[in-house]
Amino acid sequence: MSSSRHGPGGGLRAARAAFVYAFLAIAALVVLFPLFWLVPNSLKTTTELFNSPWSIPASPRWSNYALAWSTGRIGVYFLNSIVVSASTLLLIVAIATMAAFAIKRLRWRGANLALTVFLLGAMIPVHAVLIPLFIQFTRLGLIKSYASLIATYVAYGLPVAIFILSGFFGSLPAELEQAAVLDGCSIGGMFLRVDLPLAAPAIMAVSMFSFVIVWNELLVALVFISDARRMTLPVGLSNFKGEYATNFSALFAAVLITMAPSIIIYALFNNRMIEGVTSGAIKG
Amino acid sequence: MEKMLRNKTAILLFLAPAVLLYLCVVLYPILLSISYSFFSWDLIHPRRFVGIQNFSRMFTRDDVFPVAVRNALFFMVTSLALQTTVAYLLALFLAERIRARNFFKNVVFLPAVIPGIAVGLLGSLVYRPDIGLLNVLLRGVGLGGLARPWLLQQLPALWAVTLTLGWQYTGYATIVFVAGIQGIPPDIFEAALIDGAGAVRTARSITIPLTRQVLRVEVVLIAIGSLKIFDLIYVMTQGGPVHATEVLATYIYTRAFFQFEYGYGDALSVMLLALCLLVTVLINRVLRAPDVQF
Repeated sequence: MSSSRHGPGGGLRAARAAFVYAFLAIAALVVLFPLFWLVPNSLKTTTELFNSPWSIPASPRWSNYALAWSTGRIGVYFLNSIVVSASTLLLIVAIATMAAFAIKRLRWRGANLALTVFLLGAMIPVHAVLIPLFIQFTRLGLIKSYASLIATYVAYGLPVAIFILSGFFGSLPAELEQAAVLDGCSIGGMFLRVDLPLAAPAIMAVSMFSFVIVWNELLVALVFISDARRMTLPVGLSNFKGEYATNFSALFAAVLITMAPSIIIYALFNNRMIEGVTSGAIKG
Repeated sequence: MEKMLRNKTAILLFLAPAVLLYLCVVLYPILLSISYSFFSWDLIHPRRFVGIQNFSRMFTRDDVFPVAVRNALFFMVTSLALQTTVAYLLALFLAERIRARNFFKNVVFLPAVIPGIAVGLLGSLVYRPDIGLLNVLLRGVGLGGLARPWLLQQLPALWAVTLTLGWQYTGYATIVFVAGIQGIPPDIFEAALIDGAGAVRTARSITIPLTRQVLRVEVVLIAIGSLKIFDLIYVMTQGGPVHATEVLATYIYTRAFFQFEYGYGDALSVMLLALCLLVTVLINRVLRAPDVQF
């Protein structure tokens, strides 16, 4: 893709490089500037926000964060989100690995059909089943517990997870399990000792993909959870906005607290996260 | 060995959790959803069969439904135009061996991992009339005359949401495109270079045609993602002023869970499902790409 490195094209090349870097720099600025704008504003008083939009806060008001975290209950929402996300992730990984193993490593007719049926699920927006799910879970008395939320997240996370994992299991050599079988392993033992450890990179991708979806999910959680003590972070934040509509500095702090875990995890695992999140790009 | 891998009990046990969950939470509810759409139901009184009345009501006796569909289509068209162009340009640049490539890749992708609700709140703060970043910037550079309450008028609000959506997902499309471009064997580009093709010519005759597969996938993702938009509208405009920025997802939510019209809300969600499937099929028809093997 690089244009000619020598000769009369040199001037053109420099101009093109300048254009490329200018474009990239503007893109980076557009992404980062609003995020950095949040930081000083989250440490101001509301009066300062109105009177001196550009200055650094006179004395940083860390109490904005304390207010958002405890009085605004962001801390509670945060813990709830951890519980829901961790359970969902664990179940998605367990159930999808087992299913992908059965589809790609065990021998039966209909394995490909099963895979196709699972993948079709990726085309169904959860919006389309929100009302029947709400009604059925209410009837079963599950709507007040996280079970309803987690079951929905797991079910809608499965298609992509099975897609990623079956792609991985399909790429392993057919003789892989032979040694284990000769050693007298059962199918369960073979799955746990041979296939599962090998699938670690694919499981990582599935976890990254599912974490981003589940941690950020608003609509289902909004419909299923009405008790403020049980709200997940996205629902809680929308609730917080209603309660603290005029306390802007606390709102800035709350937005930053909500973004923080995603940004920290991204800072630590950016490459794996990019790979995992985009490996679910299968619609269509 | 062979016999062991064909063990029916084992196969069933490994598949059971996924199949059960899929049947109960995906397939069965879809059927329920379609059947509910022919009823009028508030969950308190017994449901009443109304035939296709819910659907005829959308097109004849509902002023909000056409607005919601139009707005969802607005987000689809504007997001496709904005996100695919900007993302493809970024991808063309980021697929080259340039300095600080990883930095730029990491930065543009970042918003895709942030919760939509937080992005929406950030958006509603940026577009605020008084302390919002946009108006403060405009006043700062002497363009205060352009400052306005962005989210309180229909067209500016729709564009504000489109731009926020673009801010969040353009980086995602970029990375998918970069992967597609890097999947093209380098010798094809070298051949083009030897033939004297410039950057624009190379992109038009080689890169774009050979990445039609990822283009198609991304176009579907962006289109469906915009049709289903909920979070940003819910937090930035609440569908207002007076339903002017309502979309199907927010309208379903309001009808079902605030006005307790579960039957009608459900019929609306069936329409959303149909619209998503229709758009997916259409895009796949139009952008059907011959499978390129290298």
